[in-house]
Amino acid sequence: MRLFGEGFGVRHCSTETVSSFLDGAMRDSEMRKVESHLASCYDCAQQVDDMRAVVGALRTLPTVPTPRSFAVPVPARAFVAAPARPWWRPAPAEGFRAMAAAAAIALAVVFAGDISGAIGTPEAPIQLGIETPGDFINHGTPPGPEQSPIVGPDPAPEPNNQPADTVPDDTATTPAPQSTLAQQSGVRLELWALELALLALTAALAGISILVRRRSLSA
Amino acid sequence: MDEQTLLLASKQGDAGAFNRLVEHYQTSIYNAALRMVGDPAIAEDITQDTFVSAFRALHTFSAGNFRAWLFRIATNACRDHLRSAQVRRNTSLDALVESPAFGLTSEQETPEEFAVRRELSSFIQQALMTLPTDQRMVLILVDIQAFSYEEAARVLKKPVGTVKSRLSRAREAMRAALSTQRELLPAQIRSG
Repeated sequence: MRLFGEGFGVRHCSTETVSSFLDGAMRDSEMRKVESHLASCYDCAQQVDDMRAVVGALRTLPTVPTPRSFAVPVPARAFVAAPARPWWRPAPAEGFRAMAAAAAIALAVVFAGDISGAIGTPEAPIQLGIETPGDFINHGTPPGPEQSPIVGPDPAPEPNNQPADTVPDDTATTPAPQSTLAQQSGVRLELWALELALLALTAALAGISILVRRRSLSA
Repeated sequence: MDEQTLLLASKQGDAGAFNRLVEHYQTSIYNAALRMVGDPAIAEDITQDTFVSAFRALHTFSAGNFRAWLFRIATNACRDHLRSAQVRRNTSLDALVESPAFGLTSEQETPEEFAVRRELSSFIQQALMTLPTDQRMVLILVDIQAFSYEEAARVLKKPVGTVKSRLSRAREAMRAALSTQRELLPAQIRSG
């Protein structure tokens, strides 16, 4: 710090020197130099006195009492920022909410597939117990009794009233329509159960997430 | 309970512990804000905002000087207010210092002494309000709140050298302003 400045050929203390001198915020050697200068310079001594008076007036300003308490309202939990959680460890309520959302999406997909016929139809069979689903696709009709073990007992042999040279009509003689309905209703039953299960799961998870959230807020 | 224990409890959401810290610091924060903005109602708002912000941001305070951290929030709030509310410049300073907050009675002084002190207090506040914001902040921190240069530098996030030079300019400006009102200064101060 530059202690002195020149003015009209006379050396005087800079404002910063006077200020730091008042606070004793300079090295001992600098303090001695300033003291020595003040002893012989009336203007600088006057400046030091004036500034000391200002600092004294500021330091004796009365403390104004507070008009009220500034206490933070209690409970103040709402003011506290929640600690950041890593994405792989969500809050319990968030985890349940995410699972409920996933179950709801699964339900929507299954239901949409069921309604549109994309799931469980002969075009995209998911039936259980059908050994050769390809027959559905190839012929557009269900297999005959000998190829369909789930249909039930083979029909009783009928007397052959047809002429020997007549080509037997598969669609007319096999109990195929009955077999298809039985299989599809089985599929429908499965999808219906799946949809119901998903609906129950969604509701349960949503309910749990609400309960967990309420508990964490009231804690 | 010491400050560190209260801080630890406050960080865990204990508003009661935090409010004990509020009790300890609210007068100094309110007074600093009052000298900074010159308006008791605004100083009240700034003080409340300071403590609410501090409570919210407590998890970011790791260690160190809590008072300096708190004052940094308060000075930032004052700066934001002064920056956004240029209209305050048009506020009549006379009306402002007429506020009862700036003239408190004391049981030991005579009515004449009270009148002089009130006038001086009002004059100082008027002079403070004419200073640039940065100089006023340093002056309030060092000369009114008795912060060291280092503490003030921490609050304002400026080097100590900057604090020193701003303080000297602020004091010089106050000296020039008060030189016309030397008779208001108490005798013991006037005589040095």
